[in-house]
Order: sequence, then structure tokens, then C-alpha cells
Amino acid sequence: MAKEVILSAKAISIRAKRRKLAEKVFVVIAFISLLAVLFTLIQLLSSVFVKGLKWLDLQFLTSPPSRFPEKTGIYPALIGSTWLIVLTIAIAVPIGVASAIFLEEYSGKSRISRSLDIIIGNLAGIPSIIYGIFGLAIFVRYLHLGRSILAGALTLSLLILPVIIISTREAIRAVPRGLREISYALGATKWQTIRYVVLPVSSRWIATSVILSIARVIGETAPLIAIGALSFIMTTPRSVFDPFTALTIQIYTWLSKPQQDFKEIAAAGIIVLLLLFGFFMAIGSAVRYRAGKFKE
Amino acid sequence: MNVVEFKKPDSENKVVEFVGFGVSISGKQIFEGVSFPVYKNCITAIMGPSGSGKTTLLRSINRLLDEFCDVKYSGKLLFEGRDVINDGVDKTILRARIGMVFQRPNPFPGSIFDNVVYGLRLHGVRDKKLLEEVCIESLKKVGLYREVKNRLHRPAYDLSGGQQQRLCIARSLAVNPHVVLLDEPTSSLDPTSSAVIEELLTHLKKECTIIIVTHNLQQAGRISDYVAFLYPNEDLVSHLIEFGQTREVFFNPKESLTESYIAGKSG
Ligand SMILES: Nc1ncnc2c1ncn2[C@@H]1O[C@H](COP(=O)(O)OP(=O)(O)OP(=O)(O)O)[C@@H](O)[C@H]1O
Ligand SMILES: [Mg+2]
Repeated sequence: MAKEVILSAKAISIRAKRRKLAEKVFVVIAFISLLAVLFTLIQLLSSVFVKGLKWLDLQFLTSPPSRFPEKTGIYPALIGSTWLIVLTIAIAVPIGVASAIFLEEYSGKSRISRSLDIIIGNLAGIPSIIYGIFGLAIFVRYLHLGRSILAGALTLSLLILPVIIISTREAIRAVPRGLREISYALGATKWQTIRYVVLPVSSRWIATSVILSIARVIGETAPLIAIGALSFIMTTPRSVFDPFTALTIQIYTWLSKPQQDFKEIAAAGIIVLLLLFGFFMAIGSAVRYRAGKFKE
Repeated sequence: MNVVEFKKPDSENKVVEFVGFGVSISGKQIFEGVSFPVYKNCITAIMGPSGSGKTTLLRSINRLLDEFCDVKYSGKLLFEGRDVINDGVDKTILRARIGMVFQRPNPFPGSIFDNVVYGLRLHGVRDKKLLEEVCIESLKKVGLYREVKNRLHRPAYDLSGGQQQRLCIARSLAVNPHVVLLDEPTSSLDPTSSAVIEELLTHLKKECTIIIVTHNLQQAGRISDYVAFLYPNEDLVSHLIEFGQTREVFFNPKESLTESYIAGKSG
């Protein structure tokens, strides 16, 4: 009886109207939120560009920092950050992908593998300053790498490794089982299946996680300060064993100066940071695009 | 029903033979005591209700079960005279001799060409010309070459479902297998594509031996030379109820279970 009432044409149409209204309200709220976000972002960016653009010239890009606003430059920090990104990715991606393959494909469902899962998940949530302190103890002091780019890159590698491992595992897990099955059925060994099926199929996702990691490496300051990256540096690092500074540290240094000019120079530094990020994003996206196109 | 030409049973020509064969997965017995031969250049159909272990039986022939579950075998499974369970046969070599096609077309996300030559590349063939030759030859065998010859290097995903399934058959043929295993290869396809594949299989058996799992009795009747009928008992452990020439089993079944299954299904 009650069911007939609930399912009567009238009741259905009333409920449908209510749902449509709810949908409209939701769309309006969602649109307003989007506008708010966009507005803030544009405000931020435009203020940065308005302040910074006039300081951004070749002299700024190629000079070391200086006490005088018109002479100061960002070159050492730019080189330092570039080194850091390249080195960190070069260290963390192979190790992370290899660990993920091992954990996902070779370690089985043992208790150790499951507890490793939990540990890695938790490592991803540790504040970055802790990694910095760890890096200071292990790389700077124990391994005598000093306050070098290498020590910085190793520290940042530790920082992004959990994320790379976790997302690579997810990517590997998402490979359709049918593809593995047919690979084995065609006579592939486990390694061949990983090499020719699992990795190509999941490479797109792995590349995505690497791009996100690059963003993280560019943005991190705390662990670098902890391992003793310099905040004022005149010389440009020539090898991975040299001391260095990074863009975020340089920007922070400028911001903390009293003169108004340096606030604007910091904005110019932010523009450089964004450009560097855009550059690596573009490379990452190109790699991801190629990875999506399965070859051999 | 139009039954294909019948081939004389020839005991010398057993490519695969199950002898008191049983499989248990994670401690659960799926089937046991299964004994029947698979004759060379014949199509042998495996039939039975859902869950009777047809797929499991098929996947034990190339030991594919081993890769994905905790499996225990009992009895013997002879492939070309060697017991692949107990004689320490190299699984990679075994699988190079046994092609396999699944229920759903499952091409790799690469080009048509890459898909067909996957098996060859696995076995170390790098010679471009040879790969190309085999690719064309395999595609011709499944009647796909004419349709795809201008886009061998385009993604296999662009093909229709029926074409993809034929591509998958071509992929398994590229290494010249002695046996091809097909698990309900047409159940996700439309009648026309299914008919194309059935036709193809009846040609294919001239060069290799075919074992096909099918739910479709008409299909089994049309294309198979022999049928094996599995049926679970009250403990859900399957046994071989009947094996014989398709015509015999269909029109003159010895077991009442077979008779009612065939009647129930086709009636
Ligand atoms: N990996 C597995 N782990 C546990 N049980 C399994 C596994 N694979 C199959 N089984 C069980 O084995 C039995 C037979 O399954 P199988 O897939 O071989 O049946 P089937 O005859 O192919 O059925 P269908 O006609 O529906 O495809 C089922 O009871 C199934 O639950
Ligand atoms: Mg099945």
C-alpha cells in the first residue's frame, strides 16, 4: 500500500522537482567557489607580476645576490634549484619505481610486506623538517657530504620517495589482470611481463606522480635550511659537492629585508620560480605523453 | 544440427591427455578424476554449467593457474606425451607451444603490429623483416589482414570488438603453437563476429589442435569434433560426466545428466 503511494506519478514528480532544485543550488555554490579561487589566484599572481616584472631582466637572472637592489641577482639560486630537481628526480624515481615493483610483484602478501605498506604510508605524512634533520645527521655529518647539493638532493629524495612508491604501486595494481594473464600465457617470464606490459601501461600514472614530486621539490625550504643550505651565496655551485642555495630560500631572504625594493625583487624571484616549475612541468608532460604512447 | 565432418579417433594422435586429473585452488577441490584425450587437428569443446571448472581446466593446461593462485594438481596431464605436472616441464617452453585466447578481447595498449609479434619478441626475435612477415601471415590466418593492412602501426584499441578478438587469436598464432586454448572466445561478440571466428577455427584446426570452452551448445555442435562435459556433484566438486564425439554425445548421450543438460539448454 505504502509502496504504491511512494511510487505514484505525483510523488515521483514532486521528488524529482526537489532534486532539480537541489542540483541548481549546488551548481551555483560550486560556481561561486570556483570564482573565489580563481579571483584569489589572479589577485596573487597579478600582484606578483606587477611588483616583480620590472626587476626581471637578464642582469637579474645572471648575477649573484648583492646588497644593492639594482645589482642583485638570482643566478646561484636558480642553478641550485635546477641541480636539486634534476638530481633528486634522478635519485628518487629509479629507486622508488624499483621498490614499488619489488613490493608489488615480488614480496607477496607476507606480513613484512604489509607492515612496510603501513610504514611507507606513514612516512609520506611526516613533516618535511624531520627529513631535514635526518638528512643533516646522515648525509651531511655521517657521510661527510657537507652542505652540498648532493646532500640536499638525497634529503629531498627521501622526502618524495614514499609518495613515488605509493603512487607507483597503485599504478601497477591498476594494470588490468587480463593483460598480465595473456603475457604469461604467451610465454613471458615475470620480469618480461613487468618490463613489456606492467611498466608501459602504468608509466602514465608514474609520470604524473613524478610531476607532482617536482612541484614538491621546488617548493620545499624547511629541510634545505635544516641541512644548512646557505641563505647568502655569491658563488655558483660547480659540482654536486658544492654548497648551494635554492630559489625558495633566496626569496625568503629577500622578503625578510627591510627595503621595499627587495620585496619587489622577491616577487621577481617568485616569477622565476614559477617559470622554472613551468619548464619542468612541460618536460614532465612531454614524457608522460610519450609514455602513454606504448612503444615496443 | 549441422555437424562437421567426423575424424577417426587415433590414439597415436593425442596431443593432450588428462589422466585422473584434478585441481584444487586454495584448498578447495574444483574438479577431480578427469580423464579424456584431446586429439590432434580436432576441436574439442569443454562444456558444463557455470562454475563447473571449465576455465580452471583450460588454464591448467598451460599452467597459467600457477601464476595467480595457490593451486594443487593431482593425477597426470600429458602434453605431447610428457606430464607437464610432474615431469618438471619448463613453463615458458610449454606456453610457447600453447596459444591462449580469453573471453574478452585483451589486446595490449600498443599497435596492431606490436600485439601480433609480442610472443616472438619475448623469445628474442629482433629481425624486423621476420617480425613483419610473421605479423602479416598471422593476420592473414585470422582474416584480418585485408581490414588492417594500412594501419598496422595504429593502436589496437581502435579495432572493433570482433576484430580485436581475431587480433588476439593472431597474436597467439604468431609463435606457431601446437594447441590453442580458447575460453568462451565469442561470448562477448555479436552473432556475425562470432560466426567469423567459428569459421576461422574450423580452418585453423588443420594446422593446430583446438580446445574451446563454450556455453553455447549450438556453437559446440557446429564446430567441435569432441565434447567433454563437466558437472559438479552435491559437494560442488566437478567430474567428467561424458566425453565423446560431438555427434554421439549430442544425439545419443550415455548419461542422463548430459541428456537433460543438452535438452534444457537447447530446448
Ligand atoms: N582463483 C580462484 N580462487 C578461488 N576459487 C577459484 C579461483 N578460480 C576459480 N575458482 C573457483 O573454481 C570454480 C570453477 O571456476 P571456473 O571459473 O573454472 O568455472 P567455469 O566453469 O569456467 O564457469 P563459467 O562458465 O561461469 O566461466 C568456481 O567455484 C570458482 O569459484
Ligand atoms: Mg569460465
